[in-house]
Amino acid sequence: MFKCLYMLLPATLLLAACGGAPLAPKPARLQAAEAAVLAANRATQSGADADASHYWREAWQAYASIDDWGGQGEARLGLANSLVRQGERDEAVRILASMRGNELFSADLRARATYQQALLQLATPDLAKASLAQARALCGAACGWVARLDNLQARLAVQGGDYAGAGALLTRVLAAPGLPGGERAHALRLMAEVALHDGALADARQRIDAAIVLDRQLAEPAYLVDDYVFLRRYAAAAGDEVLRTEAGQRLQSLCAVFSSAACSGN
Amino acid sequence: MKYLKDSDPRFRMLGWRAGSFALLALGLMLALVVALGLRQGYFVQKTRLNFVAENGAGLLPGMQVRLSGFKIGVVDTVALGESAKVDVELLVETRYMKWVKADSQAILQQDGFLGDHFIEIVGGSPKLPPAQDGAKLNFAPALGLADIALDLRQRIIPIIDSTQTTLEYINDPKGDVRQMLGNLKELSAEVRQTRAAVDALLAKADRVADKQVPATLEAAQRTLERADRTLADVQGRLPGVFDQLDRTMGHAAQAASEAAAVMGATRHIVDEAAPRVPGILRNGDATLRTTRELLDGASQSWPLKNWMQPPAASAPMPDSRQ
Repeated sequence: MFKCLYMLLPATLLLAACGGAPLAPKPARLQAAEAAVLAANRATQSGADADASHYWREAWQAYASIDDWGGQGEARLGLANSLVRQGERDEAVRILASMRGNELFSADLRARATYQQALLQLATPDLAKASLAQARALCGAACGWVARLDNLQARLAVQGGDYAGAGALLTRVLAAPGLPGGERAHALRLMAEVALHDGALADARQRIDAAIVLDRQLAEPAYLVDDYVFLRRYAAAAGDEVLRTEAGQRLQSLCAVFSSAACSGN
Repeated sequence: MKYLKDSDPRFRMLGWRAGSFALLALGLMLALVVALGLRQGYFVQKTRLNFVAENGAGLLPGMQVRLSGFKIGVVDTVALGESAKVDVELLVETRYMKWVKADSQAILQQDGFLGDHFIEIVGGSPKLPPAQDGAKLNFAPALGLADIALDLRQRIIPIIDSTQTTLEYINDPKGDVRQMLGNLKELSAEVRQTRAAVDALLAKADRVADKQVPATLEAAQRTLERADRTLADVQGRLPGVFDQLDRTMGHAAQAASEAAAVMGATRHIVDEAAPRVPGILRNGDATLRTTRELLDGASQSWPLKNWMQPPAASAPMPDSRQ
């Protein structure tokens, strides 16, 4: 009899714990906003950028209607990102610029907006550097995504011919723990560029091979095209005709199904 | 041989105890069955109604019968009748029969897009007495979007066929219309020739000398005779042309009236369907939203959350390589 009770009591407690009281329902507009953010992220994950833009706009409106500047900022950043992927860079710049000076957004959101704007200003390095410096200042010392800022700064440095500065930044990036795969691959790719410039061919080859492995895992065609463009350049510098042919073939195959600015130069 | 002795007082009257326990359990079970039956309306007096449906799709025994959205009975049987139609019998609680009249209609409805089907009883003249046991109701299957589209298709295709036939008839080189146009063209050419001849003759008349007058008059006489023959010919052909024109106009009028009838029918269908469209869209929107919420919730629960990558709750940060 008591044995039964001993078994029944934990079972009852377990059922009560699992059952529990239902969660208090959230307000309808907040639910709509959060559902739109989830849908937008899902669309982004599946590469449906037009759908993502639609959902980000929906989230933006929903958050704006409840005076939630944090949610609104996330929605604006997501929308700008989707618009860039769709080629609507001017609209993205307009949205990001409207966030930079608005102190109703948190410093982190403004830092992210400034960083995204710097990405769009690569053609004008001075503007990009200024935006990058502002993003770094807004993000602060305990910035959780400083590797992206360092990588972007290294990219600008390589673009400007400052290979030594780029190398120092990239060494710091690659030493950081918990680096996202995309950023590690980018740092390796830039490091390969620096090594090739310095004439360290073996190091350059090792870096670009590591970058290609990561980029294949990321399955981002633009990154792979960039890697193989570099690999072909490396092969030409190293006088490795076999590698040059192979890189060319891989590049041709990628460019046949994916159009990018790097492809148009080949 | 007895191996154990029931000396323990706890085993005294064990059979009675077990029996009474079993009886108590049985009694409780019966009470539960009766309570559930009462709740489900099994012990309530019911009136049997029936209707005949063209198609048994969506009709199942046990499905609810509702009046103004409230359950008032169930579908008892669904059977294929002698004339290949579907005989459906309903059991409606007698206390609700005061609202079910002999001319009430039974409509097959569905809860949203994905919900259960049910029979909705609507209409009925308030002055009529309640329907009697065994009364037959009119059945109206609810038109879905697919049914409306099919109905429209069935009505529009004859119009297109008829219009095509008329156009082919008009375009046929051997048909009445083309022949009539050809005849008219020919006649008009002949009349133009005659007029040119008369004009030439009149112009010439100014210049003729006295000695040429008889010859000219003779020529004029011949020309007039020829004109007379041409006009007689025209007069002879005109009734035929008018007949052909009349037949053509008849065909055109028939085609136009068919088109007008079908357009009227189409408008009627659209008028019937239009008020339901916002509701259907609203239901669809609500269903999609609910489904999305359910999927979101499910994707965050065990074990699905282990199989699916949950979408982030904030905007993705673009890579520095973009």
